[in-house]
Amino acid sequence: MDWGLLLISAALINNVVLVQYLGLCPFMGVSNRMDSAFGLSLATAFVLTLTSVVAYLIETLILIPLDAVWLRTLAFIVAIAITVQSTELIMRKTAPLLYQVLGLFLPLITTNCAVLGIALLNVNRSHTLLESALYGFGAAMGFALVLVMFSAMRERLARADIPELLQGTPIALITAGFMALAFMGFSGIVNS
Amino acid sequence: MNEITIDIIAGVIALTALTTAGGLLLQTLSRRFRVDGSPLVAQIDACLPQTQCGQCGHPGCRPYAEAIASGESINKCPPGGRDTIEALADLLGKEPIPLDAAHGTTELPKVAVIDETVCIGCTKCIVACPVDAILGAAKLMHTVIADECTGCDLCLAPCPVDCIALVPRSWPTRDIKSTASREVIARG
Amino acid sequence: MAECRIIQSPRRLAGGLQRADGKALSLSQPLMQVNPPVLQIALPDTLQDIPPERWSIGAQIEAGQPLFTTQEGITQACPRTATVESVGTGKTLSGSPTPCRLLNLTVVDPDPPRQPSLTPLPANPDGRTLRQRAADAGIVGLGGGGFPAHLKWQHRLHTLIVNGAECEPFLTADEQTMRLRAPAIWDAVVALMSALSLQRCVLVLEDNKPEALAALQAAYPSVLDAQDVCITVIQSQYPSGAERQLIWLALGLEIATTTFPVEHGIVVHNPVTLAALADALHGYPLTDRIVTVTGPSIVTPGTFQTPLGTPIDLLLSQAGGLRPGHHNVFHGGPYTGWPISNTAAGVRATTACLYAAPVVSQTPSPCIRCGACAEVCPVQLQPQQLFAALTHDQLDEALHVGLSQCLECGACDVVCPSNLSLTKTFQDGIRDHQIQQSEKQRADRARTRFEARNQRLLKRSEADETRRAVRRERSGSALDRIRAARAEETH
Repeated sequence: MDWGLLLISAALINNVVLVQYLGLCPFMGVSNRMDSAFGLSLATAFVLTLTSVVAYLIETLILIPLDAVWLRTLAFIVAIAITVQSTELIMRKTAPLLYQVLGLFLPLITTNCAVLGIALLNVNRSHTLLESALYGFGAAMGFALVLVMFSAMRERLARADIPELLQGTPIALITAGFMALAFMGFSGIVNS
Repeated sequence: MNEITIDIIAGVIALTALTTAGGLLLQTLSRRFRVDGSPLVAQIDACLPQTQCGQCGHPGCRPYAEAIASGESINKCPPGGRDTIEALADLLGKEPIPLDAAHGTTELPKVAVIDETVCIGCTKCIVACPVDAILGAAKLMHTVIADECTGCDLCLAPCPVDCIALVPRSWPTRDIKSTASREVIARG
Repeated sequence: MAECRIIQSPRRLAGGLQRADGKALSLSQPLMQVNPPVLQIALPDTLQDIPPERWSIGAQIEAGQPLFTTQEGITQACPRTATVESVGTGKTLSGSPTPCRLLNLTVVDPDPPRQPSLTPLPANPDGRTLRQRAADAGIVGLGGGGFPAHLKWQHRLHTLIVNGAECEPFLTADEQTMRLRAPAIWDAVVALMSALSLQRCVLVLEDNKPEALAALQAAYPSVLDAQDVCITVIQSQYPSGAERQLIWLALGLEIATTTFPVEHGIVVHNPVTLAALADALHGYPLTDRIVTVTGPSIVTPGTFQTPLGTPIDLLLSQAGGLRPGHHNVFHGGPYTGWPISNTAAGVRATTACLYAAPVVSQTPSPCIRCGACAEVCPVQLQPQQLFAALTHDQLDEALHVGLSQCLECGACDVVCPSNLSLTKTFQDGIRDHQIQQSEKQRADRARTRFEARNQRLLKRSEADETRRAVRRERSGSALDRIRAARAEETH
């Protein structure tokens, strides 16, 4: 499997946020400021990559042998929750300022549909362990990229003279729509 | 037993085992990565104006900062006013709310002045000042060091002859033109 | 006449304005001496000493006698022999709401002082004598900054730069001084170089001042070594005369905005300041200065040598007065000047120019992101970003994109097609930042004092506890004795 293509596909062509429309919660909620967006995107990227691997392991080592594939959603959610909580504990000790900045948004990574979505997509596409890891990492990088770009744009928008009707969320959604349009251009990289 | 039943039981046991393992992992991690104290209180304290007036209901700015870190509302500081509420909202990721009028209103910065012709040298105001901004000794003249006074007005009540008044502080205004004046102000 | 080395600087400011300089307007007439009948001297808020009783109404003050000394040590001399008409409060030049204290004088002898009021110093005084003399003679930056000269000389210095750029259009006071008082300027340079042990001096001129260059060349003293003292000619651009920009154009050195040039051993002085210093060395304190009165609204623009405290409208009438119509009179030039609201006020040491222009009401329209302001900014900032941040109350963001580096030169205002008042917004932002900084310093001090007080009270209560414990030990036995004695009594 071409790893470069897998990464580009995960990050840009099938971007989690703008093409697959997953993980829109933090995309809209945390992107007011660059520093919090950057911090959250790194945390989510870390959780995404780790979860992809853990989910694959759970699927292959526990669910399939025990014929318990019907428990996949539950098991994945449990894995995600544990990963997020571990990340929060470690971050609280090692990067306390980042922990303060992110505050409530760290536990919300558990309910980020992008994390569960990537884990399930890996299963759907029958990726191997390495492919799962790469796909998770690529998707995470794509998520981080888009979140940081969007927050930079929102910071600039906050200083522009937006008509009152459109200030705040409306113009942010319009901007996200334009970004999604732009990202559609990446689909021309591969001849499907 | 039914094959399906066995599958279900096996699945449930597996999931339970997974969850239990995860729980144990988290417990270990929470002990290993325990964090004591909180740098947040110092950050909150840095947003407060250090007037030490007690209008928020706490004996000083640091106790109020500790209360805020424990969840108290951020709109209790009249001397800090809107700027402090917005800074705290920014820091804690909350929404800025209007000042709680029960704790007072934001006024122009003031400084205490002692009327020397009336002062009897009783030292009651010296004891009351939270930042030691009053100079003097028993039966000797008392005076307020204007640069150190925060305008908290805690000295007015103890004075037995009512010789202390709060007057507006003359702030640097925007009509200062010369580089020299700006340098003087910048030097503090 | 010694050979003077002239260097052409190859550098240009990235940005800056190059416009018609309007200087011919005020150079069309020769320098005129103005001797007004009244003077109004503004008193600084804090004075070092209490005004002497010679300020009683009707008292006569001789020309050259000290009037007051500021907290920084600058002594202002009385410009003319005059009697005190009144001492009161009145409106300031800028019309600020805080009234200022004014000294109104009626001139008795209109001519400038003929006798030195300070002891003429021998040639090449030492550093301490020079500093004391500059302070006693009231020498401040006469280019418009007003900074006390002697405070600059407290640092260890190696280079003197004479700022003859006068980059702002319409201003010609510096040029007139260089044309007419070149020997005095060189005298001051010689004195400074020996007193402060300077290694070199560079006199910087723009290339639009050929007569001034010729005069300076002609007066170049032979005691100076051409290797150490030279004249550098720079291209005429606004604002080449700003301190850090000038140092870069003349020497190729970049001085960070977080430090002052004197901290790097470079001192910059205006030529008018140096001419005044030369007079001070001969015993004459600062009493007069050259003021350019110019602008499209002035009937006969020109340059005037006038005593400090001359009422501004008197100077304007000397220049033919204002044309009919509505005009603004600015203290300073068209770019850095601020409007004078009270024209009865007196000329100050910092009044280098009075610029009058018709009132043009320009309503600002929204920023169109044309980028013209970024092209002309001499510090290569992005004025449109600064403006957007400041108008949306984001001072932190404005500081992040370089607000504290803004020179407030006004070049961006000139080119903005939407007539935005960019410089005023930046000035307000810088002012707010300074107030915020001083607020933070006060708050930090208050916090330190509060904590120190708490520590002290804690220590005292602990000491009290210890003493009480010791007393309890002793008095415990005393109490026992009393109890025992009482028990015996009742027995």
